[in-house]
Amino acid sequence: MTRSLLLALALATPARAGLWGPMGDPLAGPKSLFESRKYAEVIAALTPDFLQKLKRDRLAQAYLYLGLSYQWTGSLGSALSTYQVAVKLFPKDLNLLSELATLLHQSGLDEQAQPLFQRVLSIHPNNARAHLGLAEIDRRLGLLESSAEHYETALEIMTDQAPIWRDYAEVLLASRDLKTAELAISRALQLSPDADSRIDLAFIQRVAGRLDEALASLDEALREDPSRNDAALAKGLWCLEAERFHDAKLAASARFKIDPEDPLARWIAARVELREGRTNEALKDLRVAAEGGRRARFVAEAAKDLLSKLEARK
Amino acid sequence: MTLLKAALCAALLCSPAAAAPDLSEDALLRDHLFRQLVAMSPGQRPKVGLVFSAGSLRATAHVGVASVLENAGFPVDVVAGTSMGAIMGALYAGGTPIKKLREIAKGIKLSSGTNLNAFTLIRYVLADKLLSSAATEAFIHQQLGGMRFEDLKKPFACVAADLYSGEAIIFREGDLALAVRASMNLPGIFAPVEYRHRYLVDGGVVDYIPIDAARLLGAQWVLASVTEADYTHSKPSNVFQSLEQVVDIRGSLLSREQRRQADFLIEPPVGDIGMYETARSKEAIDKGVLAANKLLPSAMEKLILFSMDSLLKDYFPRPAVKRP
Repeated sequence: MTRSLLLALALATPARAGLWGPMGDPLAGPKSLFESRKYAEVIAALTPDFLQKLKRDRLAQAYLYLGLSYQWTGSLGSALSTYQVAVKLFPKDLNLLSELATLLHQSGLDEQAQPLFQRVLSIHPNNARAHLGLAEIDRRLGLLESSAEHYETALEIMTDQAPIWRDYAEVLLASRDLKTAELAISRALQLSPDADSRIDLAFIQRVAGRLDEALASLDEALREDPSRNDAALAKGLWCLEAERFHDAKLAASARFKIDPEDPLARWIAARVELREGRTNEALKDLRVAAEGGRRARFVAEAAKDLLSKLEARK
Repeated sequence: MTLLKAALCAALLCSPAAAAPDLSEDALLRDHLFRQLVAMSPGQRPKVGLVFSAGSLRATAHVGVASVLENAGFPVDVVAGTSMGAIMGALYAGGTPIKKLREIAKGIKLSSGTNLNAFTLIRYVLADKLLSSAATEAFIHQQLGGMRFEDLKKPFACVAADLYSGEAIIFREGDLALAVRASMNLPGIFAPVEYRHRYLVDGGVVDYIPIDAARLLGAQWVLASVTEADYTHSKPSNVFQSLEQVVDIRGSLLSREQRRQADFLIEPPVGDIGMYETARSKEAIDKGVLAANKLLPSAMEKLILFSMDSLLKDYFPRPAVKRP
């Protein structure tokens, strides 16, 4: 009896394997397509009928392939639906929870993402991705202390991610922990010396009262990426703070070559002209800046205010 | 599900930029002018007042507001507060670090500063005798090491109401702990405090947002943090709640004019937090952070524009220094 049963099983096994694919894994085909980045084909393969036939242990993985394929083909709504169905079926699956939370967070739907990240942490307290998600959410909300704590835990695992070190440094800068912020941004620069990190370093140095170093860091950032108009304008303003009026004027003039009506560059030029006693030229520049409200509301407002005060003094 | 999908698409279109310092032209100029302003000594720029409204436990949101202002380096020259705002204000003006202030606010219990234990409650009900608020005085005394108004790091004022005359009494000198106790002395529950020939109860009854107190201290520009209640869905279930709700509503109504006197208002959305919902104090603090964070750039801009005359002085050629 036992022998005949074993024989029957032995015969049945290859037949099952033949039905499901070469390795006996029903997901082998979609997995191979997914790994070859053929996402549209993964979506075509993972039909509702196909999913229905899967055993529970493979179904979670199938939903993950499907959700990710939707994401990478830009169908975010479908990805969201997929993950939501999957998370209902597998409420403790870390991958599915993380993907859903991350998708919601990246879409700015933080109120819905936050409890999901917290659920991930209740299952796996050191989950770096969930800590990172919560760090970013807290940061957006301005909850700096909690954000920094989550970044610290995430960075214990994601040690070589320059953008995360940079974000962490920005949180520390905002909470005035300048020493740690500088260490964090130095780490980001070691990993990837880019203009963004140099600009962050410049901001930290400026708040720490080291204006000359900050200007040097801005110069380096501009050398790395000369197209950074924002950094060039920041340099113009910071040169005013350092009473380097000639350099401030150069920064404004460089901007005028590209955009003669740039409101902030006009403001910088006006400040230099006022300091040089050329009030009429300053008034002209401020008038242009005051007209630029559609591009820079506050710059225009400040220029109008300054203009009216200067005209009243004439 | 469809709604969520629509929200997802909408959010994707307007999701915030990558987490980097704001390098827009507006933000760069705001940051530059604000630094200039903060670098000036208080005598050279307008004096800035920070006002904490009354609001019982909701007023712990002021700690969140203060933390955002402090991180931003927002100048605060004088502080004023009423009721729970007076407690938070006194601790802040006394130099209590924000981290500690946050811990204190989070740890506030129903019995903190009120002697509200089972025995006193029975006495209150059976003997028709008002409770003592002496514990508030002891708490302030303990936290600030017996400081008087004159010893505080920043000038501070708090307000109580005189039951004899109905006047708002502004305290800004002398015994700090007693004044704060008087300011946080809920009528109908706590016995009025007798001080300087006055019979004092909670200042929230007459001066919910003490802008006048900040002005009295010399503030030229006032930022007020307001934590009013929203009783839309509140049904008091006992005598305490009913009485306190009436007092609170009256105070809030009186604050309409005071709101107009402030130069800038931050109103954390804490209206639904009950007067004694101590479990929600962290939520109140976080809501203070959120509200302040959202409005911070706007507050900075308003202060900059208000201070333009002061900034302007630095824009002209400096007179040559005569050498002997």
